[in-house]
Amino acid sequence: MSSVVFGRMLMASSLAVHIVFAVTGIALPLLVSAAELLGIVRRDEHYTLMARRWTRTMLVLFAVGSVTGTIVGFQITLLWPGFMALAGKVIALPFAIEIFPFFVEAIFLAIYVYGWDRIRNRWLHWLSSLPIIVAAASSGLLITIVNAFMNSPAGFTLKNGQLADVDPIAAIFNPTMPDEIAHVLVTAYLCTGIALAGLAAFGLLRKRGSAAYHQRALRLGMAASAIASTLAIFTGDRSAKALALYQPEKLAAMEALFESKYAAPLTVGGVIDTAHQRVIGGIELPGLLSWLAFGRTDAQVRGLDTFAQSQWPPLLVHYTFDAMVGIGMWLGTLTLGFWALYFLRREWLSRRAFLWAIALSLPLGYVAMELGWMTTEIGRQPWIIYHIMTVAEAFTSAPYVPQLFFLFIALYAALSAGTVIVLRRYFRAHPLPEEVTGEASKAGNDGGLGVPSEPDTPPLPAPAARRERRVPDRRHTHRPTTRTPRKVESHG
Amino acid sequence: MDSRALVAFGLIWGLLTIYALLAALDFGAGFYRWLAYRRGRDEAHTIADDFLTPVWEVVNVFLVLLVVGTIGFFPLSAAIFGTSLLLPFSLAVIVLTVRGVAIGFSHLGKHPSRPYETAIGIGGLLAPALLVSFVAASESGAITFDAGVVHVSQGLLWFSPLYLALALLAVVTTTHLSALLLYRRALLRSAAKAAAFYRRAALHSGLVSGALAMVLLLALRWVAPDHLSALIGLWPLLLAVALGWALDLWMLTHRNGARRGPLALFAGLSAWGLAIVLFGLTRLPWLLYGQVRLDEALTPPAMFTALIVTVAIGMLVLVPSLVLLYMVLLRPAEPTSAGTSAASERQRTRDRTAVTAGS
Repeated sequence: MSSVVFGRMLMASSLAVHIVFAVTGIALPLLVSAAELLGIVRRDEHYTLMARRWTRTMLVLFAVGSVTGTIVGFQITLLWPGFMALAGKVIALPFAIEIFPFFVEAIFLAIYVYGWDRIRNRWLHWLSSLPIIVAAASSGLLITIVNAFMNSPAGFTLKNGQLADVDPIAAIFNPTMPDEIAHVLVTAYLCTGIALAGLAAFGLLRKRGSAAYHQRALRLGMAASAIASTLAIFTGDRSAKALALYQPEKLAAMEALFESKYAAPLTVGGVIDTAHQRVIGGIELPGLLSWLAFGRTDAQVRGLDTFAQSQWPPLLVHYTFDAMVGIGMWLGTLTLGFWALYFLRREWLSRRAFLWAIALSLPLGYVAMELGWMTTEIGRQPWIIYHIMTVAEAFTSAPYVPQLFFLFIALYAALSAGTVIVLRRYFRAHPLPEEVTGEASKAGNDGGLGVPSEPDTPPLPAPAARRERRVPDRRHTHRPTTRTPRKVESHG
Repeated sequence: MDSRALVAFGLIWGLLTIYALLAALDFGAGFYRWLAYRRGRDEAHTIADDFLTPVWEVVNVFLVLLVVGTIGFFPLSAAIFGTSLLLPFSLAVIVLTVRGVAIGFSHLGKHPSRPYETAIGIGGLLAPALLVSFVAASESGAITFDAGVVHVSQGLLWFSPLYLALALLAVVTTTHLSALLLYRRALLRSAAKAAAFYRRAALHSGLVSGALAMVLLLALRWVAPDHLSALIGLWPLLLAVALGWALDLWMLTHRNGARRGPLALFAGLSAWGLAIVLFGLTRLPWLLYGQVRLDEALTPPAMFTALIVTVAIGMLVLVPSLVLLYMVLLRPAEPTSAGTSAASERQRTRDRTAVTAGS
């Protein structure tokens, strides 16, 4: 294999690892904030405890996300110097702006966590979560703007290979930017919401800790993912329409459309037979592709035949795209179905089969997200900047790329395994109490905000008590003891 | 030279100076945390740990800011240094990742634990040695940039006298500056044993760092004689650096350093900060010594203006956030009574560990 293939695989694996942490880092602050708000408004200590436990996870993921983000930041320059030499002149601004939300996020995260017991006014403490939500979302979106620029470059002209008329603002507001950042943002909440709902479903199935807590976590995760999956239908649709206009060969490859057609059908699944330029066994839905691409069933959609075969993206994207859409539709059905049942047939929600369906969907949001990024990145091949610079032109001439690839793979394996092991071990040592009371969510048994080795933390529940299983109160008749609202004191 | 190139270089090199000093404190604290752990010095370990946990992430963001700023203002440096520094900088980010994750995880389980401490300590020594390859490679002749094509000599990259001298100096200065800071923090806590430990460490590393600075000047005479003569042209400022270094060490020779500790820290940071500034000023006008001038690598005017505006607006957001952070977290709590104050102090330490354990 050539060096550039290893370079692509290295960049792909760095991004694949980073985006999981990045996307959770974008979405989790909103869910933590929502949980805390519910805890205050409803005086429900379950939600307060939830916010505290999720905050612990958020901190670890933020740390790992920031180091993997540093890797990505360096690798863009180290592996693709040709790209950055051009990007530095045209699209450097989002990179520079992104640093500041990142600082703000780190600072307010520290205030938020440390303020749990320092800021007496619960509303004031909750307010400190808002900058985290905004900063986390904006730093992710700013980086996505650079990707949108790679898909539909704007803000400069090329005269005899020389860059001219640089307009950094026009580069930011490139044609695919609004649709791409909307889709990335919305699906971030979908991935994270379904993951939290999945964890709660596992908690209910395995009867670990307070069932009332898990039910609330399930509802919150499901609420976020139901809203997000509904919005994702619209953002996804708009992204497809943007592709039809700005990257027609990517759309043609995703839909395995070999010939340009009026009233083009949508081919779902199937196996691509490249030699005969056809799809075997796919389901054809007449006119649907034209409608998805242009909003009319009779519109003409450009097929791969209008492009030289050397410019075709790998047709693998047909599978990754269909898999992403399939998962998206499953998650939409699951989350909207959950709420339909919640209002119509609530007792069905406690059926184990239904809980298993949610629990096993835990990683699916992330899988769909990885597939989506594979589709957009592989679908842009051979270009790194669409119709401006190829991947091979941008690639470094430096040696040792294959060796570094294996080194980084080992690092990512250790990092991913380490994160899971450390978080699991931590929450095993700080199990969820069987009953959530006002005391449980305070500083002592704080759901993991203290230091485990600290001698003055209350002893962990005896193993026997932990093993004792309660019948989960699925109708949640159990009302938590509400505590008197704290005296409002402004801090300091 | 183009005044915009000068402004950009001033901003970048100013950032680099701040980063170098902060990173020295950060990396060195990690090294001492490991050393104290190995020698069973709990007090010294706690002091290093308490400093390290809140700061490493902010320091890390500074590094990213430095990279982003350099490429934004001087896009050509991406082509030149991106290509030539693939190996040292890839190794550096691996070290930074392992070290950062070890700090993040170290408070979640049994604390302290050997693998984490080792990663933090060794990472703290390797990181500065790898990161300075950027400065060395731009002058040692390891990189030739000819008609848009970059050639790298791996031999010169790793074994040029300039790189070897600079890497050694960076490691030793890191251990010196951080020992100064930890010495002062030990004095603040009236931790006599830890203070003695850090004072000795600062004294020894300070002496070696002076000798290595001389070696660096010799190496510079070999690879970049113009740079050395420009430096010598600024001899009054070089003298100031030497005096700051001497004052720093003199303050350390006194065993009872309650008042001298802060002065030693101030003198040490100023001397080395000034040294970095002088080193940068005298390498003008080159981006790549003898081959590419800074103004040849400068970004187009529209991007230059946009970046300056971004930095200005960014500071307007960043500075109030930092002030708020200080007000909420770092300002000492007012004790209400003896009993609750002790309890709240314990709670605070615990919270701080919790805040920073993950971040």
